[in-house]
Amino acid sequence: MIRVALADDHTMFREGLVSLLSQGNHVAVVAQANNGKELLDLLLDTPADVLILDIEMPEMDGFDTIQKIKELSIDLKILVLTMHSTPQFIKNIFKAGADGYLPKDVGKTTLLEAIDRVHQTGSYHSPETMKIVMDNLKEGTISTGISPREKEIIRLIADGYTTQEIAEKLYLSKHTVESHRKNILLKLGLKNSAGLVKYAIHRGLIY
Amino acid sequence: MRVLIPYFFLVMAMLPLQSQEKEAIDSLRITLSLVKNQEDAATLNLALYKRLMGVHSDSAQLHLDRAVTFTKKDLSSTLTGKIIAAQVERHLIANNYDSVFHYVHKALGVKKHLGPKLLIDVYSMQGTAHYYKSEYAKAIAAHRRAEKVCTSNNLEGGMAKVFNNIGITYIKMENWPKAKEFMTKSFDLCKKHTIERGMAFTLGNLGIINKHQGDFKEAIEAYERSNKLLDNLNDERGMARNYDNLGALYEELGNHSFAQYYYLKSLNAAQAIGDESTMTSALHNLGNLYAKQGDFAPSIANYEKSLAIAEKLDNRDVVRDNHLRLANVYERSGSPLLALQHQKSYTAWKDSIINQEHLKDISELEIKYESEKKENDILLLSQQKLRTDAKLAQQRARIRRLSYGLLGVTIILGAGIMIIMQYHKNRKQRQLIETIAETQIAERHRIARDLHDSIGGSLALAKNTLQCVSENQDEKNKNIQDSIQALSQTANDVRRIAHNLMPGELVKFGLVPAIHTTLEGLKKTSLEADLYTFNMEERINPNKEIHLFRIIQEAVQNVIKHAQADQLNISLNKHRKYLSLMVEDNGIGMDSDKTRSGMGIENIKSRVSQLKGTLNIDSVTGRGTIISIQIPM
Repeated sequence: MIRVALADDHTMFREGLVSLLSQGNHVAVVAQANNGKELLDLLLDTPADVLILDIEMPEMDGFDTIQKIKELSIDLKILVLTMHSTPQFIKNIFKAGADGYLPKDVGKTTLLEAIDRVHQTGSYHSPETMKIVMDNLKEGTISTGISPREKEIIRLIADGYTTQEIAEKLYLSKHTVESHRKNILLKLGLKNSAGLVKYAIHRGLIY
Repeated sequence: MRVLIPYFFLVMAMLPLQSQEKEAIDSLRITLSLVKNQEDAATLNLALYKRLMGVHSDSAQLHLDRAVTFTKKDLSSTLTGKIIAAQVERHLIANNYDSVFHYVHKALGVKKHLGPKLLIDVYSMQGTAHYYKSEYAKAIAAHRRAEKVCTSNNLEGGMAKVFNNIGITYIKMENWPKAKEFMTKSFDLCKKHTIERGMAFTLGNLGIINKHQGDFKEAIEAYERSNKLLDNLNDERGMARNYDNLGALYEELGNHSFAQYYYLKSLNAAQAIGDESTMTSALHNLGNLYAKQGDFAPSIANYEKSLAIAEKLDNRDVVRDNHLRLANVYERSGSPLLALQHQKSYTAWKDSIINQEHLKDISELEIKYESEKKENDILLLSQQKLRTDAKLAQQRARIRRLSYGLLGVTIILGAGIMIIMQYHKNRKQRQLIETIAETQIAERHRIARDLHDSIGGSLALAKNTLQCVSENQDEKNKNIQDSIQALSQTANDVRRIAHNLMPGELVKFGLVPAIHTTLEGLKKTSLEADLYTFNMEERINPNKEIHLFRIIQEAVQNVIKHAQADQLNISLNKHRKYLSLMVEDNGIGMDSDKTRSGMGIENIKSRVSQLKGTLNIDSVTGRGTIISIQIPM
């Protein structure tokens, strides 16, 4: 028997879930909570093997609950069941320390399978989830680096062009060029354009 | 005693007025009542004095006095000179010789403003006054000065008058050759310029001179010519005098009947025109004539008449002479008592004349002193008044300044209060708007969460339940499948709506993940989007996050809808004091698509201003658009 704890602030959904899980013969719902706080209280007296956790809850949400469980070293597997299904959420759910993720509209079979898997292997990743996470990792669209435009401006500054000249050359306003210049200095941790020239030479941006 | 009446041209001013003159006076008076200007008023008063002098000496005096009061104020020097000259004339007529000299002195003080004619008059009047005071040398000196002015200004008419006056003075000095010389010169000039009156007068005077030189024939001739001229001029006064003088001439010649004839003629003429002065003279001369002939009764009668008129005229010399003559006649006619009486009267009058003249001198001095004192008083008063006026004006100016100052302060205070009130009102309104916006955000947040979790969850549950039902059935029920499909679709819609209302990523993870999710959605399009961030690990103020997210959403939407770009770069850099957001595309630029600067940009502008940030948009046709925003942290 796998002991399952539920944390969801929607009673109707929780009850539906309980009825759904009761159809599986090896699963027993041992605790039901409206939010993280209630859950943590219950878990003190009632040990569970798997936690089915919602993210959006009042008082203490899913993320905080995971963090608290980790802090308290409560031994149980966490399966997040949420309406959120964007890559950002899935990524963050795993980042927070969840052992599995399922969207709320998941079917009974998948849910029971996920409980089994997380209990036996310690984690559950559906193929869809895996794909989303992998896609997200591949496409490194968030960069803390220098944009092509910024590189262009670094070169021009290093070549000795003034802000006005750069603006004319790139069909930009002085204001925009100045904004770029400040952003570049910020990113490179430099104080002035002279440092920028040194950097450019060092990095082989100019010869 | 011979009575000589020489003619002065001055007398011309005292000729009787004609009706035309009266009209002129009236019109002058009316004009005077209308003018406000001092200069004009003084001029009019002076003109009225001149016109009225012969007829109404009192009112003439009044006008002159008024004119004089103006000289205390700012009058032109020319006018002041004229008024002073008029005062000289007035005092000469009144026989106040010391006053004459006083005003002559005053007039000569403004000599250069007098004008040659007036200057000649002043010198002439000075000479005449000296003449009356028997100071003949001084008189001639004064007349000579007048002559000089005439010569230098080539005024022959004036010269004629001056020569006449000099001649008269020589007559008094009994320097007959000199008298004749000047009188002849005067006559010639009068003749040259056909001044008939002048000719008549000089001829009259030449008559006197000729008589004294023993040229009786010439004298008579001169008188007759004079009379002819005077007759033409209707000057009966002059004629009366000439008759009187002719009488004296014939008396001298011993022709008593002719003398009597002319005396009587003179008397009649004088009586006809009411010239009492000539009457006394003629009566006195008649008395003399009768006395010589031993006709005491008519002699006494004539003397008495002359005496009566002389007394009336206060002509003391004639009164005195009449008393003396009467004393003589009474003595000779055997009335010693009456003779003694008249002798006493004579002595009394003689003394009185001396005393009177003495007293007159003194009183004249006193009057002069008084008038000067009065003038000074008036001057002092006017100065005081000026000072008071100035003080009043100063006070008024100070009050004005003060009230202007007060007004200014009040306005400034009022404006300040209004500005402060407006500022408070604006701040309140801003706070209200901010509160409304915050409430709206919170509300959206709540609605989004409810939609997403509560309704979304219920839908998911319903779908699951239906799926269970479907799985438990042997054959697939199409209705159930459709319902599952519909529920699935609805759940997706709800999730999308909730996300639009308030993206969960923004609330849970912050700006960068939220932007990332937004850009994630672009993967299906041909637009390649890159996000560059720096120092954005820590979350910023949720309100700013929402605004910035909406700005980026708006900008991205704009690029998708209008820019026709294939590259989109968003850069988000947190500086020490501000956050820099740049949204850059390589599309067609905003200039070529006016609609882009529509609602989307307006929304961005309004959000930037709510964040108190700055917005700059660079857009060149064919070279894309860069929206650069800086938000203070």
